[in-house]
Amino acid sequence: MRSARSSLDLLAAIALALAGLAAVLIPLDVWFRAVLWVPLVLVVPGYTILAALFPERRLQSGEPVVYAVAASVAATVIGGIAVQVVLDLDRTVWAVLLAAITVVTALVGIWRRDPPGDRGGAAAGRTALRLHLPGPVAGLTLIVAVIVAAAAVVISSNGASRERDSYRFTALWVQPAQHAAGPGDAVTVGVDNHQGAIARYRLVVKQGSGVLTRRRLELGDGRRWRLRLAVAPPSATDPVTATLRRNGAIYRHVYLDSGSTP
Amino acid sequence: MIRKVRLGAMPPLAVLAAGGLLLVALGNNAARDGHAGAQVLFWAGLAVIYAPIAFRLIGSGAGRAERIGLVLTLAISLYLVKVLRSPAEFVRFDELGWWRATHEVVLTGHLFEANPLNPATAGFPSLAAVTAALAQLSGLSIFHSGLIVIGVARTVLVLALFLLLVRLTGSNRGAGIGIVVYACNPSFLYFDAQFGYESLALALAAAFLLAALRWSRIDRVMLGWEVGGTAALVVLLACGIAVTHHMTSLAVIGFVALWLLLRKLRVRRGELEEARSMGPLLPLLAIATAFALWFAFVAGGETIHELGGVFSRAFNSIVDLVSGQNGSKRLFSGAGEKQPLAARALAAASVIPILILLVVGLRAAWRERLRDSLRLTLCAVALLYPVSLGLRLTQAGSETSQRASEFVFLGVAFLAALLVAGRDAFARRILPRLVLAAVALVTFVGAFLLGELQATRLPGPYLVGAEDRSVTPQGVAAADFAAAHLPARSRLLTDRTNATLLGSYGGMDPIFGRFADIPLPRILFAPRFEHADERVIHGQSLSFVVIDRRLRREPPLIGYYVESDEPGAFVRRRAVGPAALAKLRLVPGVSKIYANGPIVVYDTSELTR
Repeated sequence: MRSARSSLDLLAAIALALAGLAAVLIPLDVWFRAVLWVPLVLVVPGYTILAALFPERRLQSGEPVVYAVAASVAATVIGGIAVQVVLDLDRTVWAVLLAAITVVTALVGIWRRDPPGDRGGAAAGRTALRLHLPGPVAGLTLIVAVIVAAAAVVISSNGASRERDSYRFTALWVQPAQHAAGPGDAVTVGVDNHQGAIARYRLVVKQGSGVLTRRRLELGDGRRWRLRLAVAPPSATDPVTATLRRNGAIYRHVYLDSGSTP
Repeated sequence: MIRKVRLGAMPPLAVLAAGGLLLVALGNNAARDGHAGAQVLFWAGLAVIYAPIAFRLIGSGAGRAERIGLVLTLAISLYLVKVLRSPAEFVRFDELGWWRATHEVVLTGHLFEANPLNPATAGFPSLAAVTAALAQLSGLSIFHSGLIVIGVARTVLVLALFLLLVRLTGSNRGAGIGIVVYACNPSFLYFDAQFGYESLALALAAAFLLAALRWSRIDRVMLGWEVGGTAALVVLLACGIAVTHHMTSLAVIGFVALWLLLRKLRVRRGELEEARSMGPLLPLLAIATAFALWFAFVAGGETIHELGGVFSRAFNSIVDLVSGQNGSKRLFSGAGEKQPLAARALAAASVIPILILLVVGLRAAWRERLRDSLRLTLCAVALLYPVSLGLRLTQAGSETSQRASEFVFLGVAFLAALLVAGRDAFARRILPRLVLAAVALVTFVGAFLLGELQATRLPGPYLVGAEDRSVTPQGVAAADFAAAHLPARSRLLTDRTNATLLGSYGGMDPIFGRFADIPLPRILFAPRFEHADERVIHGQSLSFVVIDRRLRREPPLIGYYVESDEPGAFVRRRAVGPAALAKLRLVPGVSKIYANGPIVVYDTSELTR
């Protein structure tokens, strides 16, 4: 009983690692997965490695935090370098690797904290887990600090978003279509509206002097428009050109296989 | 067992620091909107974060837990200042290079993939590996995963340095002040907080030094788990550093080697106190062997490419300066910008307290007959500070000086801690504490002025060749187009900012350098398209050339458009002409496939056949 209590932290680490493995297989909300996996990548493997290396917890206060994170990073990287020689590092491989490091080193830590010759003895007493928590007033004040800092991040994010939206533009592009529908070539023409509002355009696509299509477009902000057209192979004498007009003037002009200007 | 921890004034000071972050956020938004007062809000925010914590740490009233809480509050708050600068995406050159490296790991499942934005990422995959693991397992974006990884590393760095200084000086107060001084290194606020391998490596190095100190003080006659555990921890962390960052590995090797050398000298002189303990031999063997093996079998090429360039540029510019072939650079200003007089004065003034600290600290160390090889090593490191200042006289030397500051300031922080350890008399009086906190604030602000371009301290409207300030939605849109519609890893040529965006979000391979002694950027700058340009496009298999027509507005703020050794770099007085930027539309066989206003993508693949 005493032994189990002295290794409660390592048993919790094993449970967390197994929960993390399960979370990889079950579709879960991203924030739930983040809460689970941030410590499982950056803290827990190092913590259990420390437990295996220093069963008597003689490190000074603060040191376990430093070593746990640093050892987690080192173990994750070295494990990843070794594993990628034989396996691609996808989500499942990372999960199994980190869970394996955690479980194996935690089991070694449990065994070393309570060796067979000293079951329930002095070692268990030395390794009792101590938690340091602030008082209620200090805790509440810290929560206020976190809320104010979060507000600063939200304010700055909104400002950055507003700044991004202040750049108004439209993109026009033309590209050979990768998979033409029938015999001959095809091109794809695209228009992307970033004007911050609904925008109206007139698009003319030509090959040589022949008009392939004329379109009136009305696109909402952030909306995209695509058109696939069959064409003869573009050449210097027979280029494919796309011209976008806005407010009666030429606004954008692109072309395939031509040195000509509009 | 639950124990109550006494945090003293730390919680209200954390609220105050959060208030400082609010001011910084408002200052950033004002700068984005072009409002006056942005600077005032930003600097006031920094002062509100830094000064009260410095004031409290200088005093003698705080206990150990409160001091740890305060240094962590300082570290996290200053990290958030960097996050607030660009809270939605990475915008710095190095960060986008690492975004690309991490994205490659997620896409391919392999480390060591080539990265044209930052070739060193292929040899030192730690940051990409840890961030990719977190992103894949948590479902968070690479951006958010990267922020978490660097935020945690930052916290660990400061905590490890605090514990190291406590062990060296025996004073929690001294260690707290040491952290206040360490935060005054010019790289601390932005450069060391960016999503880059150095930011992660510094945390590992600090943890390694703490473990090495632990090992060095173990009694030689001691046997048992403690010895084996500490040795294993030292070796694990040494391997971690070696695969994370070349410069940090070399700095740690140099530091531990000097420590060992001084210890040997002291033992030879008959001072046997240190001879009874393990000393730094194992840490030195661990880090030197790990790095040598990594260098020999994996990352030698990347290390030589990156560090060779930095050091040779610094060396050449110093030789030029001494021989009079080139003048010195304008101090405390970037290549294409001139700082206001007040900013330059503040930057210069920030150096003075550090120099005074150096003189007074070394004198105190001498008087106290410092008898410990590690402390002597830290004094030697502090002596590098004036040398690093000298490097700032040249353009290329500034980069070396900037990169060295996070290592040099470890020695400076130690001297500060040593100086105040055991000297509590002045700490009980308000006025001396106020004066010291004010001096610390000036040093902190001045160091930031010294280390960061004026244009990139706060966000704001587009500027030409100004790193973060040149990233706009048009560039991102062009990169998104490339990712969706162009063949992955197509070779292209463009300016530095668009190369960063197209090389990261766009998945393209921007090409730099020369071909047959022709500098590649001439394709962008030459007024006419000539045979040499065609040779370069053909020889380099350049499928696309991307032109940012805004380049004609003004010369680049950082001194160059594409790379630092391009023709006209740092001496260009006029912007590239509009004819040069428009010339490709007249070239037969070149297609203009994308246009969004400022940015045009030309398909030059016909010329490569």
